[in-house]
Amino acid sequence: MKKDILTLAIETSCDETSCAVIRNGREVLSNIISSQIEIHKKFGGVVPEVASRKHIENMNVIIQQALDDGGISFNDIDLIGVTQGPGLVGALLVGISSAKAIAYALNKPLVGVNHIEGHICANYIDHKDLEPPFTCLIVSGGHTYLVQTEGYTQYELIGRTRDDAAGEAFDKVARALGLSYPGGPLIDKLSKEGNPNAIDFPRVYLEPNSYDFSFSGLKTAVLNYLNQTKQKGEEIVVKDVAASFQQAVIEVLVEKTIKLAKERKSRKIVMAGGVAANEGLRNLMEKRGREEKIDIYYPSRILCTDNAAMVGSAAYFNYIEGQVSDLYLNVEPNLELKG
Amino acid sequence: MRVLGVDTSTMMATCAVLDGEKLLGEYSLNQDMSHSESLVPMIKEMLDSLNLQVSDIDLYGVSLGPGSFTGLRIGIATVKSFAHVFNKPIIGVSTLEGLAFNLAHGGTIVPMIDARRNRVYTGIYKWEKGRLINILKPSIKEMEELLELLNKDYDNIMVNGNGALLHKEKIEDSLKGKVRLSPISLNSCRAASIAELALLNRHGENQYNYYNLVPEYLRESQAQRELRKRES
Amino acid sequence: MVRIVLKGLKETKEFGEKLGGLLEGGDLLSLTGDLGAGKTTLTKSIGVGLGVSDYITSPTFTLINEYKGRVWLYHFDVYRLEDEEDLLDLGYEDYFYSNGVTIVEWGDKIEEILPANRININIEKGKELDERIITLSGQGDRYDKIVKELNIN
Repeated sequence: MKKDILTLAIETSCDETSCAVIRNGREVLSNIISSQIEIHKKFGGVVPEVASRKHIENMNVIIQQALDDGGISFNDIDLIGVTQGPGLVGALLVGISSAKAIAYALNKPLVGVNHIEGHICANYIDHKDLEPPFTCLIVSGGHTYLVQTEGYTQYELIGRTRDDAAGEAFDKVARALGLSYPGGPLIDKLSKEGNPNAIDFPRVYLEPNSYDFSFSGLKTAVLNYLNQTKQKGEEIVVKDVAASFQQAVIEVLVEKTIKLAKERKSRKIVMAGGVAANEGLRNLMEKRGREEKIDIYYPSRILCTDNAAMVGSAAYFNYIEGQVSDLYLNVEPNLELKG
Repeated sequence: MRVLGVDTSTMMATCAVLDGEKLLGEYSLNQDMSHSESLVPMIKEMLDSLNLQVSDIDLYGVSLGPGSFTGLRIGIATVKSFAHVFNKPIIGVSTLEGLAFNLAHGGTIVPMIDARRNRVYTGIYKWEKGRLINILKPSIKEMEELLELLNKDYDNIMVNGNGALLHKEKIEDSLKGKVRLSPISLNSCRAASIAELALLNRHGENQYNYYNLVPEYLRESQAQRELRKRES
Repeated sequence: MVRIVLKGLKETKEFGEKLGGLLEGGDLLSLTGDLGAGKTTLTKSIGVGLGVSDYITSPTFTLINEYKGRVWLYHFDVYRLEDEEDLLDLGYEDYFYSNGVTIVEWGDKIEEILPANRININIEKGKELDERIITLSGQGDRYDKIVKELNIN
């Protein structure tokens, strides 16, 4: 009878500080994300400050919250997973240092995880029956990748952005439209009311056989359109610009993903990352998936963002395949998907 | 009482274990900022050699700064988590105080940590009745300003720290007979000093625990910032 | 202050690559210009000149991207930062005063914190399509040397 494996996972690659407790790679006992919590309790008699970027200094508060919400203590932990990269060195260091200390103190195995792999694994949490192989599109503010996933830890990086990540294009266009941050979700919302065919923005596919992406040209086209329209003294219909822009992005994302899935005869397409929460993208991908008889998967909203539960899942799957790290684990700000 | 002291505020990563007033072991390695890789293995090697485990430690001491932003985070995050796992107290120690503590010198002690652009993090200390007292609060100072101040108001000065080493010539030229540089062995942060300071301060007014302990970066004063703005 | 007009993508690329070839470890560039002016695009060409083979992508979200070339290239984008505190959080000193080349997009946002000795590059769109107007300013020996070498044309 296989024993349950409880993983304590830590993610600090960029803006978020997160800690989670996972059981057997797919069951989340707790998932604490710094920007999402309000710390009401007093910890050790002192109320910690949770000031914007300083949340990283609350790492141990967040760890304790994850243990408490998970109903466990340090002694129940079997495995420690932590994001090794890619990301910001200063942020990654806090997670890795904490994870290494815990692993050594408890004398338990440590697994360094690729943040991108974490995003992919978020889907195993929300879709209990999902198994590789599948084609995966990872889209967020900082990353855009097309990955062919062969096994739980076997990946082939097929395509990537050559300039701006998709999520970033959303936020910059939103800014140019005068929308507040974060602009991505606002554009998604406005797109529902706007006309996606109002303006014909460029769909950049690059070379015929390329699975890479490029969004800076589209971004420039939108900015140029806004400038020219202003100069002509014409009205800018924000919702139409939003809808037309979004359409240009999601069409390219979907078509390339579908193309890869067909080429590799994948029956499943999995989406991950912050932009996977975009309803326009989800709808279009599902529509094309139906047409091509390919099943589409994406995580719940909270698991699309950066979080530790997904890291715990990735750590678990690496662990059961015998891939553990040692206490010399170092940050890798440029970590690439391997396998 | 077993104390683990750690300092990663400069390129010298250092860890030490005290058993009461006895130093059991100290590792110091000047590592070009690879602390992130080797701090935990270094602590483990030291404790393993002493047949000790993390659970045997009763009290933790760690350098809070000033120093390298990145370096400080590594040491602090590591020690906070040790303390957290075993629910032990943790005492934060000023890097400058730790440096000054290295020196059993009867006169004025001035530790200096390089703060780039010809500035140092520094403070002035003195031993009085067996206790190390802070005479001038830690701050960032331009070397010239510091040397002028020392020349005017102080005597029998001993300096240490990577800032002192960096500006050795300037210091000797300016202060001449009034100053001595510390021996090499005492010039860098020593975890044994951090550990001892933690031990000495453990009953004092200590606002930190493993939840809220944060680095204390010495920041420029408002006046210094204004000056920098005008100059740029 | 030096003003250079680059007519078209090819000239902009060549300018960036030439500049990259002249840069040495310890150099810092502050890149300014409106959204869409071409800061990251110019950085790509500079990267080529520095021997970076990796794709240089926008660091708006990641804040700092690090690339290995002839020397390390640290590519900052401080667009998302709110204040000096934020920058401090990134451990910027370890980058600005390192042996790598640092390029800071939207450097004007953190002007006071940047080292005085640096190269400022402002990019503006010209009247023609794909035309770019580069304005170089700065101070220090390295700035003087680079301006001199760039003008040899």
